[in-house]
Amino acid sequence: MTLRKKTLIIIGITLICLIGILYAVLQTITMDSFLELEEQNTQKNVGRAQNALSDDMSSLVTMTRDWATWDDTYNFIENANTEYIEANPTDETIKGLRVNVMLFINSSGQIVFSKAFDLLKEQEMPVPQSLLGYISPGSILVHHPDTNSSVNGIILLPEGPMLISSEPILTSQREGPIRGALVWGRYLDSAEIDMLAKTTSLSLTVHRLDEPQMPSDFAAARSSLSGDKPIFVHPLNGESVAGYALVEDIYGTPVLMLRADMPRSIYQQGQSSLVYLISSLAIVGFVFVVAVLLLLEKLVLAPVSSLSASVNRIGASGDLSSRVTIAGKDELSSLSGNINGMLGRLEQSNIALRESEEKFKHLVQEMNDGFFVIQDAKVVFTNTRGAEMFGHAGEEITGKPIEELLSPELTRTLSKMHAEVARGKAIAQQHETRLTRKDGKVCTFELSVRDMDYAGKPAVSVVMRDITERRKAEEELARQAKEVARANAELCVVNKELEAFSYSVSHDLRAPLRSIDGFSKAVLEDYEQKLDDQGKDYLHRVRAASQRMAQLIDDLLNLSRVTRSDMQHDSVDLSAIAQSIAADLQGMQPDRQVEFVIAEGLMAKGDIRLLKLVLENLVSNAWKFTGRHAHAKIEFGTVPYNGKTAYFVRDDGAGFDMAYAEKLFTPFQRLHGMTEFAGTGIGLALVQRIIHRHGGQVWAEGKMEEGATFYFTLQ
Amino acid sequence: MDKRVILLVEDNPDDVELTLRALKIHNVANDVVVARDGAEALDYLFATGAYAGRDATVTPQLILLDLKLPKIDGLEVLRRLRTGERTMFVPVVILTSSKEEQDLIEGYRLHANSYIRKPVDFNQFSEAVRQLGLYWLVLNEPPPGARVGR
Repeated sequence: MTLRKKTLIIIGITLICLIGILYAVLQTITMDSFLELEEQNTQKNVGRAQNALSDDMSSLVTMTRDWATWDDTYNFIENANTEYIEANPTDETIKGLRVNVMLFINSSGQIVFSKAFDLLKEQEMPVPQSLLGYISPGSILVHHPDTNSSVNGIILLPEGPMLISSEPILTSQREGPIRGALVWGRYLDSAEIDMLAKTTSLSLTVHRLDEPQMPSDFAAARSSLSGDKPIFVHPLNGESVAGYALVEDIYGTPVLMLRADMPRSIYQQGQSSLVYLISSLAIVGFVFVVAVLLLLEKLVLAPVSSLSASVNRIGASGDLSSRVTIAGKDELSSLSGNINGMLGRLEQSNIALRESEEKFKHLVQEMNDGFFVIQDAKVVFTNTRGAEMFGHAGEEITGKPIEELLSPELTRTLSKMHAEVARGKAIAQQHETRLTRKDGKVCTFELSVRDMDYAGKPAVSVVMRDITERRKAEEELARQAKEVARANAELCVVNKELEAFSYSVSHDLRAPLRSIDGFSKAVLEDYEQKLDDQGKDYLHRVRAASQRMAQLIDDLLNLSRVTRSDMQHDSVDLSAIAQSIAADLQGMQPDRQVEFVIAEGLMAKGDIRLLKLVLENLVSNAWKFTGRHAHAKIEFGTVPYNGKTAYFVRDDGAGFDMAYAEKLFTPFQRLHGMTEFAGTGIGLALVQRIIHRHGGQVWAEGKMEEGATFYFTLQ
Repeated sequence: MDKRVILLVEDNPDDVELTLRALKIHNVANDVVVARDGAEALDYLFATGAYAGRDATVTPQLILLDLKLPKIDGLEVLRRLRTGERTMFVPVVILTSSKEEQDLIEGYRLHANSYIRKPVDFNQFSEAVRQLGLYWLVLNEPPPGARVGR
């Protein structure tokens, strides 16, 4: 429904409701007042009709009284003279008086003279017998107790209701004695009622209460009338309203019912006023609705329609660079400004999106892995590399069912995953599979499967990587690892054997040496006299040789122990160790003049026991090979070496020929004769092994008789 | 003065001879009982087997124990004698060729009182024997209640 229709319907319904409510309220409040007013007016009119009736009665009474208190009448009753009859109650007189019946009754109740006259036919008629029934001596019409007595009212005769008046017959001076009664009657017939109606300007109707067929409205009014409510008002229809009242006879019994009809002018006036009011309100309302609609149309709907059309046009064309225009400075123009701003941002983000899409497209096309999008068991997108993996061109593979490309098992797996994704489940899984390419080559692929949205529908993305080479390399690596493990196990066995060997060396090789030395000594002691000097010398040589061999064994064991022992990694204060060794050496040979230059605070990471062994060997060597110099200098310090720190021990002793520098570190290899410098040739081999175990290097520089420098680095 | 017995547990006859010689040189007057293997040493200490008639309440004043022995090795002998009620306090000096770390650790763990590596140089060996004789037989006070002798 358009805004126009809605506005029209809402305002229209509201207006109609308002007018309806107003009408209902006014109808209730105003019309009640009008009805009340109408009732009061009707009552007043009925009163007027009653008054007219009583006026009619009064005129009859006045005329009767005029004739009754007259000497002529007074005398006539006594003597019944004909002159009176001839002179007075003539037809003309009766017609003028509009009296239907005249009765002259004497005091003994006898009718002296009577005359009845039909006023319509203008001729004399007999006195109705029914009236004569009311005339008897002692009846209220005949007997007047005093001179002021007067009886009048209505009596109901079969011929019709009659106004009756009875006056005592007196002298003209109204003096008695009363000689009888003068009774005059006038039919309350339709002519009489018409006359009353003319007088009162009302439409009057009179019905007898003893009528067997009384009209229904009279019957209804009869039941509603009572002493408290002498007048009953009831609208007959929209045009007229009727008022009802009872009329009593001379005995005080209700005998007639009077109805006065009149137009409902007040009610109709009220009704039409209401109609005018409501009509004018409706017209005002209509004008208001039209004005509001016009205003709405001009200020809101037309601009909104135009805005909507503009936005629709932009939406349809997709041209985000166009703008909408609304003149003015109201909310709508600010809305159009906002829409323009939004269009601007949309345009920017569209550009960014396009750029990013280009980037990703490039990425997907150029990536080294195959990329597939699978939807409903079909390949819906692939990059060049992906198609190549199956030995196809990109277009050939798009739209193909995956079962033609992949193994049945993988097809099932992917279909299952797609079903899960369609149910809204997120997935990220890795699979590995072997596939035969179109060219017949069997390759191993790694598949990374994820959920994604493609063309607005759930899909499965597959990144496929050819891992044939990697798998091969891994297998090779695993094979090598196995080989290494086997070699390691062998080494462990060898190591165990070596341990057992050195244990036995340490025990069993020394024992015979001890016997050789011990018994040589015993011979030297116990058989001294029997040996010449040469014999003693030989035994001394035997002892020296055995002791030297024991030393060699010990050194060998040390060497193997260094290789085998577990390494600790501590922070080691090399300077402190060097100081302590120097002190020990000087303590053993206090007479030597050796200057120690030891750098302070040289720290290293390594096994403290092994590093101590390194320094002991190097410093002891320096001490030993400077032994022939009167003054010697031994230094311990560091130099930078290939970005690392190289420690060195330098002396100015015997030195060596650089040509043999490599041989220095070979076990049992010596550059000096035993007689020159003692030693087994194990020390430097030991140093090298320890430095290698620390991941460092060791090397030496020297010159004959100019000293030697031993460098080492640690990891 | 009571005769104080030294139990020498040693399988190598040369070493037995050299040890006895060293003791003699340094005038150690004690009787020396030589056990040629671990089993014999235990037999002597607990008066079983060949030594069944011996009074087991009398314990040696010092045991010189080699480690590498036939039948039952030195460390096992040490372990067992340390569990014996009478022998648990007898001073034991391990006198052996090896100075393998594992032997040292195990020896002390089993409550050896001392560990001496036999030097190849007889002079040094003789000196070692002299010093341990002096220390364990003369200077050292044995635990109270220990009956020493044959």
